[in-house]
Amino acid sequence: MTNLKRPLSPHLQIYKPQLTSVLSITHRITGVVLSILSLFIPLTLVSVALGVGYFNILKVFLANIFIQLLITASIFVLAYHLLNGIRHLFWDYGMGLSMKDTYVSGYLVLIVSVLLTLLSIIFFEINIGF
Amino acid sequence: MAIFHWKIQRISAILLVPIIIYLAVYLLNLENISYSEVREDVSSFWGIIIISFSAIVLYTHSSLGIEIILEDYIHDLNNQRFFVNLSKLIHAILLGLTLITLIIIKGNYL
Repeated sequence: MTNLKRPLSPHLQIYKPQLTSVLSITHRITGVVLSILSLFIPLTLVSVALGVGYFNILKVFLANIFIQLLITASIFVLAYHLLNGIRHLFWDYGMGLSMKDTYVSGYLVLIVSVLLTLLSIIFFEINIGF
Repeated sequence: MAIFHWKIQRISAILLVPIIIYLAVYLLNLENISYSEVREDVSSFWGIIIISFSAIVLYTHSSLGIEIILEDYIHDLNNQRFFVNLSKLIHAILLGLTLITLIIIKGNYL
């Protein structure tokens, strides 16, 4: 009980990756990425508080092609975490817990996340270099 | 405590579904909105209510999520406690910064 150096679950390095486990750890990774991206909310507000000059600097920064690529990746990260979060909420109510349903909803989350990212690129005219 | 933690994580997740879609669409459209329009939106009554509420729910959800991850992967209890508290502090600072900046923008706009 006192051995605090023991390995704790989830034993990511032991299990063979499966769709379910990969989607589960991806949910955590995307959550961490979104926590970092949440910095953008106070950052935008600070630029507004500082005045039009700083706000325009933010706009120029966002228009940069590398930042636009990062924004595209962020849309996928957000869409994935949002949809997989909804999948988790269904599980919490005891729905979709069978092996088949878990795989179907897993693939569905991935496909819809990609579709939402592609639609956002078109709708918001994100410049990703082509 | 764990059940309370679990419930707050789920309630904040449900609340975040419409909030995050609205915020993401607004931020992705930022390029097409002028400075004066953004300032007007942010300092309007509903702007202040939506942003304050969103920030509280978002940073609560984020803080609880990071806490769970730190508890799962940091095995040493002292380190775990340190990083959980650090995470809570950073989230509190970000929430505070959001709310204070809102007050400043509203104050300048009056």
